[in-house]
Amino acid sequence: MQLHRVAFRAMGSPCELQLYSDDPRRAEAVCRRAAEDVLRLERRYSRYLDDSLTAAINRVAAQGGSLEVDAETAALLDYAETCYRESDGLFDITSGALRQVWRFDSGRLPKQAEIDRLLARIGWDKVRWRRPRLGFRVPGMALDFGGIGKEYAADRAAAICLEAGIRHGLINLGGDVRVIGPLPDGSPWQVGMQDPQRPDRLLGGLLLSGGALASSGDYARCLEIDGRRYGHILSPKTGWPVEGLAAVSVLADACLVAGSACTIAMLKGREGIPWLEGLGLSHLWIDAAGNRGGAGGLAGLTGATRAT
Amino acid sequence: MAATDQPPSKTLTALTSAALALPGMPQTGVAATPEERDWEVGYFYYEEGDDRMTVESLNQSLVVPLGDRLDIRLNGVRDTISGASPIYNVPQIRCEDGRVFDAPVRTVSGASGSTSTGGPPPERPPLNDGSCGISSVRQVMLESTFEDIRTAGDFKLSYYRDDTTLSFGAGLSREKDYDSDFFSLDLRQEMNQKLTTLAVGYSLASDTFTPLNKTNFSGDKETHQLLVGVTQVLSKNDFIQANLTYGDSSGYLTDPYKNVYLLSTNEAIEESRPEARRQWNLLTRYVHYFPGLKSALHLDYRYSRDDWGISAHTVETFWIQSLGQGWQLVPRLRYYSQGQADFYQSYFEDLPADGYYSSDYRLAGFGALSGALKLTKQITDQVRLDAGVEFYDRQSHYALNDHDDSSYADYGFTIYSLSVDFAF
Repeated sequence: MQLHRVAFRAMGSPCELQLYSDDPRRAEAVCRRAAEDVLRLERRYSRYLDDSLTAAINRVAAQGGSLEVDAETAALLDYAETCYRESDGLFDITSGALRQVWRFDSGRLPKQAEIDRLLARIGWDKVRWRRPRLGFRVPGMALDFGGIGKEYAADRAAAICLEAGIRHGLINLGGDVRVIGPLPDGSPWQVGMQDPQRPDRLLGGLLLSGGALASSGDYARCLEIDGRRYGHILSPKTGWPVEGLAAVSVLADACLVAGSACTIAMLKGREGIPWLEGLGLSHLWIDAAGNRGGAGGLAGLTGATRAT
Repeated sequence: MAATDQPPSKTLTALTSAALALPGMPQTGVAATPEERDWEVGYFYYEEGDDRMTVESLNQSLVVPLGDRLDIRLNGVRDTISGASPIYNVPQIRCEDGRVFDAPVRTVSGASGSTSTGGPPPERPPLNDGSCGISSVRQVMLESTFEDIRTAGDFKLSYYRDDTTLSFGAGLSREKDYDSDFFSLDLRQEMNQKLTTLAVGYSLASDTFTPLNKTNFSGDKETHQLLVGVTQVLSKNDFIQANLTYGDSSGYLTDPYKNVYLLSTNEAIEESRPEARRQWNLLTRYVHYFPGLKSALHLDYRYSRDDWGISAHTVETFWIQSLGQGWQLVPRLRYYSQGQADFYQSYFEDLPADGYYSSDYRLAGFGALSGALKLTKQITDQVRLDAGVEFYDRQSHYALNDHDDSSYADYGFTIYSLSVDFAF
């Protein structure tokens, strides 16, 4: 079996596909198809691209209008609604508007008045979602699929590989990892886990033969003002970055589920710790004070940090 | 993937099922890609009631992907057919005085190749004096046991590109007295995020019949078939399908082994059918998957009619039940009802003026009930075993349509099947 590896940038992150196949041309073609699908989803759901579907939805949202969406978008909205419900309203794809005032490259904090003005236009409860029609009760709203798009893309890439007969492969979209079976010799993949507090180091290696690993944490993008860190995970209820947990990683069958479990746990702050326990998935959390905990295979990484 | 043995939480279940509803997630929608390598070998044994006919069949099907966009399927089958088959029906005449005349027939041409002519014309009481009449009808079977072997093979090459699948297939079938060559072209197009699939197909079969009971004769037959179909996914647990098929056959459509009995001359003579037949067939299907029960319900209804005057309804339902640990049980029920062909009679007084006449029980009006049970066991990831049994019961009075009684031709059969499937 030969390894075919491609690296590319999508969704603002470095992406990597590693696929094993007997036929190098086949592996290459599958890689291309999977990468094309990731890029397709980026073009479709990026809020940065003016010709994306998200941009088109947000033009309607800005007017407080309504529109019909296709089946794929409908399923994503259903998924987002499930997350909203299961997180008691914390996971909210309408909270993206907060980024208008939270600029993590600006070096300044937004004014409370700016935040309050935005909060009036945030909330999934202000959205009228009756498949296939999506309506906005308040003008000036915006949707952001950023919290689920990359994970969904990783799962779809895995599905494309599986359907094309790939049985040994790994997909990494900016740290969201989906594993398709073990290595060809049957041994598991070693996935390195970045230390959220010292990004140049690894917490350790994780052995995976399947499933998906997603992480969320304020090490990825944050604002540091007067020694205080403001993470990029914003509460739709307060409009401020959530506090309590510094990083969460979750293992699940689907990357989408792993990713939203991480985000919900982060949004819940310290409440996220018992919530993760109740979820029953292997997970790891690190709080702002550097304390660690978890369950399952990932909990094994709560020990000493190893140098790369 | 659960970290602990506790049952999955409500939240996890909600997230997972919402995630799986997304298009293209591993457990849902299948992209148009080549099939996996797979080899299936099967055996089936068919037995009609009253030891009438048995068929033993060995078949194999091999699928091999050829790179990223192509696959080829190779099928082969060898049937051994032996037994007797009905050739015509004679009326039985009963008289008030208790005499029964089961008229022997003067001339029969048999499928064995020999033509025998009986002795003197049989004695028969006059039917119009009121004391004697036709009471029932009896089938006359071809007495000599025949045995035939059918060997057939075909291939189908499929090309997959994005949401499109294009297939080309060809094959042949050989028997002692019947040769068939055929080819087919199919196009499948998935659209609307793979929720809708359109299919169009065309096939042509060219057959040659060289009846063993005729010397220096062969008849050719050509059949064109067109198919248009649509499959629509309604939700993650439901889909519906509708296929419309049109078939146009022309040439020698007569079965030279079938005779009709002529009352006026007390003779059995070879049947005669029109030289063309146009058939329409509509299939509608609804499939519902019950995730909680890990089972699926299929409901099919078929309607067909042709310009020979035969219309037929089929209702079929089957249930696929997963039993865990690789076991699966599929019970199936089918009801079929057909009307009779315009030129069908169980026997004839005189030859019809238009020159078409047949007493073939397959063109009669009848109904049939069948039930089947299949048990499947996935032994390893690579090996699957299937065992099945099917019962079939044909009864003239099961038919919905108006028709002449054909209960003399009622019969039943049983099929036992066994197959092994290797994915490698």
